[in-house]
Amino acid sequence: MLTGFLQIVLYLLINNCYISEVLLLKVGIVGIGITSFGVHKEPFYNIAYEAAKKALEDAEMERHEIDNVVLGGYDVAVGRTISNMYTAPAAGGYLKDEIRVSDDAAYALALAYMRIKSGIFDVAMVLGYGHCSETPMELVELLSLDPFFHRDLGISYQMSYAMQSYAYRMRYGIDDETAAEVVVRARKRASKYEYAHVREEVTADEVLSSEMAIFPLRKLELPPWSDGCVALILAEETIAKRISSEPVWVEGLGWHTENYYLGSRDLAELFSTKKAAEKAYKMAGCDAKDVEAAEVMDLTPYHHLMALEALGFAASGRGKEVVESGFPVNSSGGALCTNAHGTTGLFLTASLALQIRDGRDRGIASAVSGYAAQNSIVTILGV
Amino acid sequence: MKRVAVVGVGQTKFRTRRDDKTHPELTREAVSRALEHAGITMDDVDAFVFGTMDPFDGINCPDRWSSTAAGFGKPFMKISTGGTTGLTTGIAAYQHVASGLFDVVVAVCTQRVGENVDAQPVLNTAVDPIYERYSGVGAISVAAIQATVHMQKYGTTEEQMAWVSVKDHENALKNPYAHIQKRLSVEDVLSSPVVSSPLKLYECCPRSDGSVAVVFASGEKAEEIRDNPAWILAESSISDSYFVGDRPDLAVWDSLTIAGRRLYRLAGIDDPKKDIDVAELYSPFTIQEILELEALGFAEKGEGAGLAEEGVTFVDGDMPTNPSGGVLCTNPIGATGLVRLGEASLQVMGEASNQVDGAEVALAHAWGGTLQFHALMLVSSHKKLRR
Repeated sequence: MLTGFLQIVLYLLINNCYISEVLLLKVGIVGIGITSFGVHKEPFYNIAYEAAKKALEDAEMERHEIDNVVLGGYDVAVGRTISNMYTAPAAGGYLKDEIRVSDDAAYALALAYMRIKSGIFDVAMVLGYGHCSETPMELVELLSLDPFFHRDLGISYQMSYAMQSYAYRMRYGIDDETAAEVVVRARKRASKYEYAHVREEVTADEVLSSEMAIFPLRKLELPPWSDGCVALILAEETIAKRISSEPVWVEGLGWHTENYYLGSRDLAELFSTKKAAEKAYKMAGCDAKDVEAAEVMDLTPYHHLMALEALGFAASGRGKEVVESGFPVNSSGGALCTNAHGTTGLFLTASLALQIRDGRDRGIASAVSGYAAQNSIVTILGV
Repeated sequence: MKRVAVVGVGQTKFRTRRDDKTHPELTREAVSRALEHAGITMDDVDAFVFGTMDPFDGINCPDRWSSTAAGFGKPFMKISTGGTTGLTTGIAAYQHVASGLFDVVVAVCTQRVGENVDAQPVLNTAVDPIYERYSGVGAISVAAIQATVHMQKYGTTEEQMAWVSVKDHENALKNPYAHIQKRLSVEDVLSSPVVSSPLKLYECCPRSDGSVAVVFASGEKAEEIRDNPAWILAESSISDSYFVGDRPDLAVWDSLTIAGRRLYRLAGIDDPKKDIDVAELYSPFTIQEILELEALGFAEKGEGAGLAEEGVTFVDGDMPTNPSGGVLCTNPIGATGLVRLGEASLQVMGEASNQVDGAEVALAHAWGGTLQFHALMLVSSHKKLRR
């Protein structure tokens, strides 16, 4: 009788809960392709092609097995408008369904996730691109300033990050040595990561004696402008399991946008990252203590600390304790060593996925975009 | 898959320049109208998807600034895919809801083409600097090649193309948001100055400033919000080769045929002429409406040219096309695709300013790049296709 009862319950579950079962479907990363980052002089679609090809080879797949392409990158960061025109075919988009997110490509991963989660598509090629050597980044980013309040101030992109660094430093009494230590550690890790752009190790003295670039940031505390592409192949659960014996699952996603007006914000906190992380943790059903590794988009050493705090690894102003603890943050070297504007966040997410493949159970990646980290997206990956 | 519907549409007045408002203010105008149309407030919105084509607005990434009017404090994603931007922004918003992550999502596109001295040199930066850039490829020049090839291959006449313009301009007179509102005769069109031979001034779109917002809601929410939601039946996009020179035949738009066939398969459409009541097509140049009608199966190859002249595509014809006045009368480039979806949705809601009698299924289309991309969405007053 008990068996009969269970059968009825099972029958009801299977037949009535079909839709919710579909909604519970997971989405996994089954292919990873990262190009070298640095200055690329050949036609840039070749670099995009290289990343896509590597991801397909990694997944042991052919182009025709992809049913849609989601691109991520900025027009200004590659020096031409509608930049998905030349990256789409390179990413395998010929006669396929294709869309482009015009922000850090970490957002492209989120859109690809939704396209698969909805059941509309099965397998997506996510490709992020950044070609900073094509254009004077500082100048074109000045054009993002609105013509009434910000533009006449001539605040460069890096200046907005320096303003945040200064605010954070002042509020929490962070000294030069702490910031220098973040750079030293980042460079050390990048020296061991084949895809990183700047891989020369530096000492704290070298950082502290480097030229003052934008107060309080010294030259060695600024990220490089890099060229490179990252491709990830995402697939719905059942297909992912056929493609790969160990897919890296997308467990949580959250993104958030802060006030555009710099004067209306608390610059000493990464509020958009904090809100994005809350959403991602909620979706993944976990919190910071369940996470084994992090990749944060540290456009300055101070942002390294602020991001760790926003992600919940430390209370405000105490991010340096996470650094000292040896918790694995930015095994890739982070944005301080590789920064292809438009795909820096996806580069970090892909680097995190590689770490999950290497044995970590769960990791978190955060990316920022816009002046003074106006926008942020947080991705949680796991096994 | 979750059912998703359009439950609100808002547009601003489109003009050559909207100096009366800033970028965020234009965005806010469209969003407020869309929310009002849906009868909901900003608090009910779970996320925003913003679309614009970057270098046209005299500001890079204007979404960052415009988010102060729509999106600030919420998840906000920016889409940009050239001329298809408006529709791919709608598609992304639809996918936000279909994924189950969000219930109510607003797609909003703002574009200020009037900030540019000329849009074509900006567009020219999209093409490859080595092979095609110095040929001056832009939107008008490639459309002119399409027209020339179509005329040679099928004997399409300048009068037939002029009728498309007469029809669109007649329709725009009824649309309060349309940019160009002017009654034209075939003679007016034919005697207007040549812009890029054989296309004349009144066969080419204006450059418009303005904004449009469309509210998407999940099935249950949509039914709570309004009695007549526009249900999304299907969407489809396609990306072709990068170089215009690689396209096999510019007298047909074969990539649109492929995208259309995929869309019809998803929606269960056998005969588009019978199953689709009205189309809002992205045709900034007269010839393109003809090519699109042929590619999408509304006319045989080479026979689309006569449809306007015969009255078929007029609002009271068998295949009403661009009852809003279309892109020929209003073109805020990166927002135009979303205007198509908004107008298509209003048609199946029965609330369009130039309503097609009894419209139940409406098609929205956009093309982008140098003829490289297409995006399509199909909306209906019913949850499923009814025959």
